[in-house]
Amino acid sequence: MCVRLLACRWFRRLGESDPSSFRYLLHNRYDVNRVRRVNKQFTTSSRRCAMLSPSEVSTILRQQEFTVHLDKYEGGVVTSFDTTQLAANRPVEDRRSAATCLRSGGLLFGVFDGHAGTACSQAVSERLFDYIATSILPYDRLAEIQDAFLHRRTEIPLLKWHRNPDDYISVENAEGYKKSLGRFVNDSLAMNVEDDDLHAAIELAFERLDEDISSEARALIGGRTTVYQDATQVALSGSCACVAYINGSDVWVANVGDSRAIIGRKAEMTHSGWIPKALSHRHSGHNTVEIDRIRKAHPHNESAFLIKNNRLLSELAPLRAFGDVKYKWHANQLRALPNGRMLIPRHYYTPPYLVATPEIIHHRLTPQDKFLVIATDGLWDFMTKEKTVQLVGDHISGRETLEAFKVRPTSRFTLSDINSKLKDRKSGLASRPIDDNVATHLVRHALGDSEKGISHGKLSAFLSLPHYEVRDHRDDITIYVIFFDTEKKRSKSRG
Amino acid sequence: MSVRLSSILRWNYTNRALPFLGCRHSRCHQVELRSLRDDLRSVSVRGYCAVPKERPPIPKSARVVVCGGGISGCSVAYHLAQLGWTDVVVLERASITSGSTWHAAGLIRRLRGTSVETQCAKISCQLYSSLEAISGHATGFRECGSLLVAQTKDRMISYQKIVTQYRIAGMDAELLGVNELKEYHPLIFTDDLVGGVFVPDDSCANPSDVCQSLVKAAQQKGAQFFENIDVQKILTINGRIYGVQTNQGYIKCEYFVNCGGMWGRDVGLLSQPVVNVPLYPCEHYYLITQPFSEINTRNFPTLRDQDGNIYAREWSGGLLVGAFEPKAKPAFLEGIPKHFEYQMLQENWDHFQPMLDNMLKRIPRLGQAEVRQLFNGPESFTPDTRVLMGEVPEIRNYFVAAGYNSSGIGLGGGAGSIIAEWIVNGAPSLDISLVDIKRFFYTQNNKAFLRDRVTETVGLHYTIRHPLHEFSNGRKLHCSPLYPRLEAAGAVFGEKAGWERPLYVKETESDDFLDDDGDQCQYKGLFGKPPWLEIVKSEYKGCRDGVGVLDMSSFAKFELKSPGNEATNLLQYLCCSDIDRPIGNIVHTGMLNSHGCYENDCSVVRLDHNQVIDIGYASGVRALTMTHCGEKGWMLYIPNEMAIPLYDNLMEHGKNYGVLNIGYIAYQYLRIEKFFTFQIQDFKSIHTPFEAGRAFQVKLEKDIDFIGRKALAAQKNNGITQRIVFFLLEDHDIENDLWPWGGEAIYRNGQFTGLTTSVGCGFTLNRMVGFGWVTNVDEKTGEHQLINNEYVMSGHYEIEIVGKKYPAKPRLYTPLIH
Repeated sequence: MCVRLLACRWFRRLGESDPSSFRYLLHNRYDVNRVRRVNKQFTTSSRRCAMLSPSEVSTILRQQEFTVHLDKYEGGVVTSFDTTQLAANRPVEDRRSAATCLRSGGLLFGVFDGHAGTACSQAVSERLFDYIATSILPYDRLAEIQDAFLHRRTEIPLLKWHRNPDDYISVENAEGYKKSLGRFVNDSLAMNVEDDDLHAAIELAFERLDEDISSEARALIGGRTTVYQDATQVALSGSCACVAYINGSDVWVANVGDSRAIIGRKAEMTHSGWIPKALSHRHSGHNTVEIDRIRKAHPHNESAFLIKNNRLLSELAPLRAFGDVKYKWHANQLRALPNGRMLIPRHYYTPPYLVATPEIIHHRLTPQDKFLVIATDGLWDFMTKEKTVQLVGDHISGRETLEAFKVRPTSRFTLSDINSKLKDRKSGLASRPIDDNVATHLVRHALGDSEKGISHGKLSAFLSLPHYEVRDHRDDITIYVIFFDTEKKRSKSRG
Repeated sequence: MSVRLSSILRWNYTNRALPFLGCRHSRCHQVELRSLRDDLRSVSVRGYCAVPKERPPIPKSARVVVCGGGISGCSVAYHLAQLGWTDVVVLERASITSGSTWHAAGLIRRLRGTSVETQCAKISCQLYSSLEAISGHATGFRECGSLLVAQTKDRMISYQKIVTQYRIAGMDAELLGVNELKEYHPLIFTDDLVGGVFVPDDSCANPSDVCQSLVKAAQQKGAQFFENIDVQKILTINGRIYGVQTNQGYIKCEYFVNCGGMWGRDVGLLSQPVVNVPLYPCEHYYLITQPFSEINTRNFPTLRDQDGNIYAREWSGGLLVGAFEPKAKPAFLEGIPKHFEYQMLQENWDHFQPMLDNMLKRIPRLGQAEVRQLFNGPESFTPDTRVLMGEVPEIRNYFVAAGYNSSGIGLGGGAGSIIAEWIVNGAPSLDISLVDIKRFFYTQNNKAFLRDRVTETVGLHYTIRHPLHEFSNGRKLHCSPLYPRLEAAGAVFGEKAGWERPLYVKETESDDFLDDDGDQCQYKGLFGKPPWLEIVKSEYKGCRDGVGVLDMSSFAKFELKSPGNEATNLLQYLCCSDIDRPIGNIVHTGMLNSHGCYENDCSVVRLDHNQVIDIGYASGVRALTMTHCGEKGWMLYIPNEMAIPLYDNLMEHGKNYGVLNIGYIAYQYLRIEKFFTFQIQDFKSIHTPFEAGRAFQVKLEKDIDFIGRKALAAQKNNGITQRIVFFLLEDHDIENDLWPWGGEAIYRNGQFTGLTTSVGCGFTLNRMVGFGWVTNVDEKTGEHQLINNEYVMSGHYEIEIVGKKYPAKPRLYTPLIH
């Protein structure tokens, strides 16, 4: 109880001082009035007491971090990438994957923000890259892959994974996954898709995987045995996906749901700033284009119920997702499921309401583009894209970034007070970041930023929240930061 | 009233997505904005009253369409209406003052860098002081005076120089010693100061009130204002304004005035051809304190501590303290966001801290003052710190009044008046060459260049600018083919209209060129003998005794060709000299306006019967026996691709003749000693050839009735009232005395008679020489009287250099130099 109280107290303070965390509360449908009431009760005299030591905080933050350096032949323009994950759900519902496509040499990075369980995000994180790698294969190479399937080779030569050794792989479902993939390979051979159309290829991979997830679950319900046992869970849970495919100096970002990918671009000439360039749009209730898309896909008389409280059918936050068949299947199909009647959302007339069609943005890297950040919404709840690129950019040059110093009109600070505070900050600004892994650096700032630098108390409070409360305050965070060597790119093109 | 305001501001936030600040910040900004409500009382409450809410449709046609409802646009509209042109429509994209006028500090500084701007400030003051009586709407105008303090001797010298000019303009300013400063501003810390100036005429006003007052006054006279109108396209026919396309329909118009403020550049891009309006918004910070007891009078003078980059004015019983930081930040790296009205930028206290330090040091009482808000608003700046005004060269009847460099309130009133006069009369009433938008080249409208340059212009407001000041950002815009050669030879470059030109060629490094911080500099101990004098002297000597080579690529050349003799006739019509000369002849002539004053000073060369070039080249190298500096020499017109080989050849073969690279300073000194006057520097578009000592250029008896002939003929009969005169400075010690740099007052028999223009070191005459204008102003009536050579030569002249008068000898013709 004590833990909870302290954490709460901390949190109240956050809610008061930090607009980003405040918005975070709103995002999670936290009772705003309650927060305000609580803020009023909160007195500044309450003692600050951190539950965790600094090293414990660092241990927690760094638990899931890892860095991969790639050489010129493997990475091309990508020199290295940093990644980390911080759980809020127990178990963590986010998944991540990174791999090299063996045929094209292109790199795939993806973050998968699961909801209603981990089954879908787990399955998508394991399977999607295989589908993409298959889909982008030229016709003649597909036969080789088919050959591998026919000869029941254990290794299908599609991908080389860059996995964190701790990341979980569901061995028991592997056979089922492989069968579906095999069918996709066969179908691809039968299909006549233009080789160079990457947009279409990636889109096909996404849609096919979602279809497979759906049909595997249906097969299981129908009592057929050719599929793996978790198929229903996978289909009933859901997952967002934000995948970047980097080949040469081309980047394709395919996004489904509310994760984001941002390019960090160095501002021109003498300015030290960094400019973010978004390579994805969030498919959430704030995206008017997305809402229009859904409204157009359904009869006019439904439009009042489609998006409510920024949620699809007032239930689902992301407006595109893998799995989540309860927004995709016909009502009759849903009733066939155990407890199926309970699953059907209100005002469910013209399914599907949800698609897994990705929004794909292509970007050609310029010499100013230095890195790509892909992260789940757990990060974006705390960070703007501007601040993110500034943090990563400063981290590259070995500088610490501080939360913007703010003076509220009601605070009765004198100018001398402010000046001495600003001078204190100078040393903070001059210091080096304590995390080598820039993804961890981002998480630390997302959770711990205050005007004087990283507030240990705030971090500790966030990280020591009891598991039944933590999800109210933050979501799972998964980040990839992928660094580009644009110089290399230049010399390459010259050579 | 304040309640209503907050609701309006909230309306701004809730009814619009905030793409730039993001929804995430909207809450806190709302709070901050509400805290400003007292100050901005008039912004919206009255603003909304002034412009009716029920929107009538915009008219189908108007004589003048003004784009932008800030101080600039309102002032233009008011003055046009005042002059009887009431068919004026002002289109504002959001609401009146919502761009940057609403957050201006409202200072009117009377001491300005150029005489046009000083004049503008004067007109503004006169306007604002009388505006309340005209419109019935308060302006908050007060002549509170301002105190400028100096931390260094150089600063004091620069103040003295300005005060001299200021007094000449008929206004008063008082130079003060350290001990007197406290009398004017009791709160300041004076131990580290050396002196100051009190300018009683400096004023302040409430920007939004002024603007609304102008709107009201203009409306009374018939001008129309429309809010929430997006100007989408400026339509032209045959290079002339035809109309304006808006989101509410077309307006046909004869004149268009771009008063778009920081959107001015974007508005320029809406026409075909594109109009270059080189300005870029920069972040500008000021801080407002809570009221405190020491600020007990509304007439608290404005304080300017330019060495500390700060200014402070009274604001609602507290202080408003602003800064012009040495290295500013450009705002909006990716363009101005949509719906950026009544909005501020994210404040950055860390960036502001050094200035806060200076503020607390200068006004120690501020330390105990509570802060109300740090405000960061975008202000547009231009590449050379001067405002952009006048008719654009790209499109007829298209005017611009924008880029006030954060002095919109101070200059807007006057600029509007000048533009209105220009539109109505067809020409401005005073010489505006220094602020004319034509001074910029299209390449200077480059976004990256502007972004780089403006970071420097902000700080320049408060740095002491040497007469030969050069920018360090945004350089190498235009380089001649010889640039690398000259750079390798050690040339130090200056910039002219974006062109890099060698100032002098420094073959060896020397400590003379290091400033106190060990950085390279061109001048040390400002305003005195510059470190490069010896170099320039040797270049000068080199030219006189041997051969000097100077890259003159920056001079513009035009080639006119026609099948018949149209080219000749055209030039005969444009030029005041007879240019119908044999092939190969060079005529140094002027192109005048209808008043007989210089529009262009040029040389015309006849290349062929019907092919005349106005300084130019055909294929191959063309050599003209002409220089602009009075020395014997050749101008070589070389195709770009031949420049390097020809130059190398020249330098190689010239060795035996002592050939050396020279720079523009030596060139200037050569021409000054020979009494060769230059346009802009010495004479402007208010001077005729007779006045500029160039009667030899005028051929009144020419067949073709050239532009300005009538005016010149009249002047020949009547006589002239001003004359440029060559002066030799006596009793001046080049080594130790402060130098004249141009703009010094000349006294004839103790009475002010004019200002110096170009001044230089005459190495042969072995003293400072230069030019200056001599007039004869009746002391009682203030009228300009006629002068003749006898009048000029008969007086006893003195030139005042920073408070010290040196005797000077006048000459009407080139002194003989052998």
